[in-house]
Amino acid sequence: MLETREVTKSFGSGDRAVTAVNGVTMTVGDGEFVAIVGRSGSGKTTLMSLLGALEQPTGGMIFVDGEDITRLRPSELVHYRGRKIGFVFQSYNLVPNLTATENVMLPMEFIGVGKTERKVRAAELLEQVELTGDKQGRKPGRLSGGEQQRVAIARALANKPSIILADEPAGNLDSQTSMTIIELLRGLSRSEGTTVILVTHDSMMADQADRVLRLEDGRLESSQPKG
Amino acid sequence: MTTVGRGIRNAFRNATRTVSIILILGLAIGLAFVMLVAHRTVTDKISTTLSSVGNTVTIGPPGYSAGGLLGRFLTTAELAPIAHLRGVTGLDEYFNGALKASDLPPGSDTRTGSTQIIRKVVRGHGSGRSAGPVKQGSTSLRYPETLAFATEGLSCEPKPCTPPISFFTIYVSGSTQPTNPVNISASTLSIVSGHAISGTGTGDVAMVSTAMARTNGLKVGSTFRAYGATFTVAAIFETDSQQGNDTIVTSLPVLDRLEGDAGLVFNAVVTVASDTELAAVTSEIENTLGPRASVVSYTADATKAVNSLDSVKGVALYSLAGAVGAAVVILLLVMVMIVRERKREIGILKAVGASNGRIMAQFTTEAVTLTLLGWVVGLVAGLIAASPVTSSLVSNSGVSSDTGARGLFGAPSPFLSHLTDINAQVGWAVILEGVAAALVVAILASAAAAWMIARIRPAEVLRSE
Repeated sequence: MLETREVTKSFGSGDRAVTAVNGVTMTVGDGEFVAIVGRSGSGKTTLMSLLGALEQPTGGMIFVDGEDITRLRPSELVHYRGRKIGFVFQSYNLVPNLTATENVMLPMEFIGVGKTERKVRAAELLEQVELTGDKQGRKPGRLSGGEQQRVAIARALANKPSIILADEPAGNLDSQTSMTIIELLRGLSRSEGTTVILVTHDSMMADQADRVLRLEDGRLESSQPKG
Repeated sequence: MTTVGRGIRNAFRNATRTVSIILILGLAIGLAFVMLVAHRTVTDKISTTLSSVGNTVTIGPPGYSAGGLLGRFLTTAELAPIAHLRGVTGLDEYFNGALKASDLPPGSDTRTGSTQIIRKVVRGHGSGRSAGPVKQGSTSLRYPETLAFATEGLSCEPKPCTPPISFFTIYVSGSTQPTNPVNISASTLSIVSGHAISGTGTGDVAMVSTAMARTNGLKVGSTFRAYGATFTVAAIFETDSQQGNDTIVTSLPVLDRLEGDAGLVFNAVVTVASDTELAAVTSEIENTLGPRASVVSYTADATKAVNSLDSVKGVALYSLAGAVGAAVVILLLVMVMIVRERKREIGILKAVGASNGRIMAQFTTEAVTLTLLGWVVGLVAGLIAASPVTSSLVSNSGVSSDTGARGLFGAPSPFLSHLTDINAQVGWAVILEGVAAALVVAILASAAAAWMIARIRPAEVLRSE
């Protein structure tokens, strides 16, 4: 369960202060697939950063499985990101000199999983996202955009997180590959019970979600259950 | 792949850049290594020189210290009060003679050789007898080097060269302290066989060098002829100078008797309790003996001589600090550049659960890898350059072994004769110190990178989308 209460994030101070997220209150249930839509500059990415503990809010509270993550110490935030959150970025953000398998093994190493177990699980995850054979041993530069995003999704799943935050995951992909990626995320949400929060400006993709949240000027304007 | 593994792999991420960094670091580390070796070598040389000199004062006849013709010789009676001066812990009196070796080649020029000059002066002034024709002593011993060795390097026409008699001179040292290496113009004298003779004994016993014993087939208990007397070998010694190898050591009373100059002293070496008393004791000796003697403190000369080495040491130390500083700055800038370049990657690592410490460890490993590779390049360059650079630094610093102090036969002080003979030694200690310094360089240079890493916000990964 993810819950935010009057979450606010401002940058700068005084007259120059910009409020990117302004009093957002929402609740996302376990295993729910939620899309956040909004225009560019509406605060979607900032809200993602706050949910993923990449940034601290200026005000408000964020509860994940009953724990207020805004009160966590820096070392606890590292632990939170490593175990509870999986990120999928628009530009994939894989480490360029590591192979697909090594990229997937990375988050597991940070929480202390043994090497053999990491290797086995990375191979399983890559099979799950349909990246097979010698492609698992390739570096990102030798994979297509869609394949890189599959690796990024496998990496996000590595530590069995309760929430996956996907920021425009199909932004750099063609429409067919985009739909495949979204299908993959939705399938994971259902099969693994993982909460998926998808940030997108593409209404077709948002339509794949269980619920669509609309952000405008940092405020949550509407919450539309898929009907 | 672990944090360390990723750090090592990242060091080779860009081959061209890695090679460039390693070469630049290697040059700086090589210079540091050379300066470390130079500093260590010169420090050792200063220490060895000063310790070999010890707290001694040398007394000779007037003009002795200038290396000119000697004046009236001192006597044991004149020197007797010196032993009782405050601060004096030892008094070694000695006399030197020269013998014609038995293997003198036919046609040798018997009119040359420093031994004759000395004997003329001894006869003319020391004993009061008039300077008549020189009558050189002789011995049954052969010169302890081969004739081929003796003529090697001689310049003459026609060949083969006939060396002057001085090449075949065997010296005799009569001393109250026969084991003092100063008496044979050496810095070491160690008995390897038999027992040291007494400096006050009157029996015809002697000590010979291992080279002399080998050439003449002598053992402890063997006998040989010199000055018409039969000497028994009481001990065989090892020494570090050519002149020491050519010298027979006996007691002062024996040599005085055989030379027919009882009570005469060629030189005396006074040992002082501590170097702080050296100046006062030197002054006391000068006051006691007045113009009859030339008083020389080798310690003062050695201190003066090593001043130039001190300047070399200073140059080496500053250059070492400069080179290490340069290496730190080079690596620091490289690491800052790398961190800036991989800011996004660092953000990703933080986003997927890496702690600041783990990321810092990865970058420190990368810095250490680059530094150690630079160290290997620097070590090779340093091993090649250390000796010539050290010698060049010493020779260009104006270091001279001739400080005015004169030893046997007017030669420069035996203590200082090897002052410019610098041989840079690269030991394991220096190599290990180099590794430690390289690691310090890597860690210092990583500090700035670590600071930057800690300040990178993982949210920047999303911002740069």
